[in-house]
Amino acid sequence: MRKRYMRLIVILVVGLGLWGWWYRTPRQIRVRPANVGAKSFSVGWFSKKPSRGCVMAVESWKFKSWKDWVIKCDDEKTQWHLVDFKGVKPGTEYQLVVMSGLRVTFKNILSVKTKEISDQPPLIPKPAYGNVVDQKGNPVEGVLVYITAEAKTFNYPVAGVTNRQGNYGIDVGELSQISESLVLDAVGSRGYWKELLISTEGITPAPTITVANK
Amino acid sequence: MGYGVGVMVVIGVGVSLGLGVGIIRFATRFMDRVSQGEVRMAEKMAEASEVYMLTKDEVTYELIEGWNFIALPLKPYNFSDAKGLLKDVNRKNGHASTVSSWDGDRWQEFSQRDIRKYGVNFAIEPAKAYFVKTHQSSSWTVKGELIKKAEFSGLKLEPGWNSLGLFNEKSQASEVIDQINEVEGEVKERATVLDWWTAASNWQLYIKRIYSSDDIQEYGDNFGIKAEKGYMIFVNEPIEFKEDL
Repeated sequence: MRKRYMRLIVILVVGLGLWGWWYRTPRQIRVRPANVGAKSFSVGWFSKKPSRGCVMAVESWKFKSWKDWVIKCDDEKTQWHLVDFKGVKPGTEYQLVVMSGLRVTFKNILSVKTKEISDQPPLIPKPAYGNVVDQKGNPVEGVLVYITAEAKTFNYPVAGVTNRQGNYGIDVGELSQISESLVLDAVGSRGYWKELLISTEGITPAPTITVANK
Repeated sequence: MGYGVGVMVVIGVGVSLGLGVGIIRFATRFMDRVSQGEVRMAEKMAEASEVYMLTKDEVTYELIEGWNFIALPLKPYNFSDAKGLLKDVNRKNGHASTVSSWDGDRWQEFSQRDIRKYGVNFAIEPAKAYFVKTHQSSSWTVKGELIKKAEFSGLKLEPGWNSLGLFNEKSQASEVIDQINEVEGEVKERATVLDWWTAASNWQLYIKRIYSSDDIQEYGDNFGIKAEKGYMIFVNEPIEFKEDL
């Protein structure tokens, strides 16, 4: 009888510990595959507290063994996350799982298909750069910026992070081939900005993004 | 008995003194030679760094499957044109089919698959950058003649995008842009963007804008320079560029 109670208490304590760990781990916001090439891709997200996250990737329909999964993690605890996968197969679809502590993101996620290797040499660079400020006009460091082409067809974003001056710089050469308009999204510790529409001609520099908690 | 002991003591002291002086003289000469050698070595190194753009006579490229943007910081012994470059990669367990060179307006290409050739063969020049397309990952080592600083006239950069190779591996992107922008103590916005093509197959950018003397903004990543990498630079006016070493 006593043994049974002890077992129950242990289960409760472990359960409470796991729940506490899960509760304290910040939720992943704006999880998106980005910077997708033929041999690499990144997965970006933002968390409200600094945390160390990992991404598991596996070729679609190849779940036979744990060895098929590739796991990449952040180097350190941060609020912005941009985990890079390099040396992946061209023209291949990967299923992704994002984890921080016990929080696992399955929903709205996540698969990414790498590009085929092109016969043509890469396009010359087309930089898009600008800055991110908070509502007081102070530059914000560590803001995750996504840029996509405004088009009816789906396209993967390119992503970058702002530096100490609150500035980002990202190549949009391929996106500007899809559309003359680009859509900027930004998320950082001082809030976010959703869907700033700009022309590919007005990106050197792009209009200032003011992030806020709306 | 007492006399004999005295003689032995005197001889012992004499031998010890002689040995001591000998050791000190030997050590002094040895130290002199070492310091002279160090000076000569330092002089040689200084001489070498003064004379050559880069002091290593071989460069190893880790080629990935797909497009690789490379530069040659030396004059290769084995090839001098695009056709020779492809042959050299393929001879050393690689599988390359295309070399592309930026002509200021578009990519000029030379391809070879088996015996079929496409495009016009072109010269491979040191301090310029080339895209090489490979079909498998391989390690490719190129040996070549060092480039003398006195003989290297630098690069002519035209307004717009230019491809180039850089030699100074101690420098960062910001220093390359700064060197171009600082002319005789005056800072002017002549170069704004320096990019390199990463192993992840995308451009990594460093941008420096001089909006005014007290508003200078940096964007992107201030990456380190590698002699074997190719770079694209955007300049606003014609520039004769010779890198500071």
